[in-house]
Amino acid sequence: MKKILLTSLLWMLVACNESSSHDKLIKLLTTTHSWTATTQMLGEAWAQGTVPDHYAQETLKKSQAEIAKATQDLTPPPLVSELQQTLQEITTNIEQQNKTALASSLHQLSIEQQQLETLAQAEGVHL
Amino acid sequence: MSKILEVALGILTSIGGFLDVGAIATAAEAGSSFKFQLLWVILLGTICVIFLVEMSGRLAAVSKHTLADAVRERFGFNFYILPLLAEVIVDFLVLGAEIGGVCIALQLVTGISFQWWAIPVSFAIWLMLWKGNFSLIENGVSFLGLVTLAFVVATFKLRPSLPAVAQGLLPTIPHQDTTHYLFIAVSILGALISPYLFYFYSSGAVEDKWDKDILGVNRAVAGLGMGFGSIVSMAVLIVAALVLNPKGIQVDSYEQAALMLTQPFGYWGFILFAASLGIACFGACLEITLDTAYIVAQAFGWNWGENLHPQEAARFSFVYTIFVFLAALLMVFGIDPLQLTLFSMALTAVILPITIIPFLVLMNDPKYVGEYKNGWMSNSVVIFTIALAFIIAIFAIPLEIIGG
Repeated sequence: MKKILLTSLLWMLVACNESSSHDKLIKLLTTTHSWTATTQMLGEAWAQGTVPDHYAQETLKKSQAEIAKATQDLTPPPLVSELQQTLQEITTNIEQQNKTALASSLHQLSIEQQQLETLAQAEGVHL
Repeated sequence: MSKILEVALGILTSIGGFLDVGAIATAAEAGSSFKFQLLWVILLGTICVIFLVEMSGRLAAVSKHTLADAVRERFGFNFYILPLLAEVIVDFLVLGAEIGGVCIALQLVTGISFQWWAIPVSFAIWLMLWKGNFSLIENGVSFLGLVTLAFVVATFKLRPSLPAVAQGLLPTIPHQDTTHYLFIAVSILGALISPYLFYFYSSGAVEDKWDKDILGVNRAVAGLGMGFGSIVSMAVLIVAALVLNPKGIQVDSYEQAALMLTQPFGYWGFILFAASLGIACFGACLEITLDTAYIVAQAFGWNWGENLHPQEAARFSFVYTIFVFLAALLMVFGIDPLQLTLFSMALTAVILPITIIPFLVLMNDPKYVGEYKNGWMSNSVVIFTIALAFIIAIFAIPLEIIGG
């Protein structure tokens, strides 16, 4: 995880040499943070039986689509790709009604979110 | 006693009918992005709309004219065409957003995409207008809209810090995301001070044959009804601030907003959100569709009235029939409902001066309102709020679009 964090930080330092690229990066970080937070809350709600299956699946698809849209015209940092992978795992867990695997994926997502916040802070972005 | 009942009924229907897709979307986005910082905008917008709604009822009761009719008569048809066109265009976009709100509510509950619901929902709206009467539309759906009080109950359950909430009632400008903050502020004002609201109110007052004896009731309903109704809107913002903001969720879609009530109410919170969104938006759909038919019919001097049989007001009925199905197409073609809502609310703020200035002239013209002219306070509050909304809108909207 530390390697991914360092690689992402280095990538961002190299990538951020134009203000428009910087704005796109800020948008990517903000969007990714918001939608991963949504996924976190959604996953916990689904595990408690608070939201129906179809809504959970639809919202997860939306999360992935929104993050993918934010990465257009921009090579996403490795951490964002990791997050997208975790989102896909959560989607599979919910489709398979596997609450045990979901708990593990949500824990992983929580760690990645904290790393995202650290990256954003390094960029001067308040999430 | 009957006046007390009238006031009570008016207040209840105002509370139940206060929320619509614009109020829900803007309050949810405001709370999730800026916590309590935009509460003052809801307060400001509410004060302005109280004055405007009261003025609208007063004009109808004293002059026996609807607002649209009075503007056309006072300023001529050639002038009236401008606010009419502006209002019809904005009504079209807002109606599309409201239909979207109903469709999203149905999508949340059934899992069937909102695009599939657009035509059935527009048909239901049309059927209610075709078969129903004014009382059913004004009161029936608004009573069902009392389900939105779930947000007020949620606020009590979540126990916000009262000093923090109170601080939100004072105007502030954040140092970060200022453009987005101003855009949401303008959208809130556009959502609250929707011209369709007071055009519709004046038409309804004429349909109900108001006279000068009703002026006290009108004042009470406008003040207390809108005042209590705004508490529901503030409750949406506070719940979003307490549930979504701490988690870092910024509402960019209704799917995110739907999680708001799950923390205080569990599974029923999800259902209550969908019910609140669906019912509130359905009621607004009826009002906006009727309002468009009212202002077009009144502009051209056609027969109009929801209490008339459709055959007795054929062109009036034709307008609302065509309008509701055309607006539904915005959802059929998959336009994002939340983005359409925010944009149409901001656009509403831009057209406010065109619709409000003639209104203010009428309210100061003794030929229409006799001794019941506006006082300095009514004029001052309305002019200040409209000017503020317009100025912010012409700067914030382009910046928001550029910023993506």
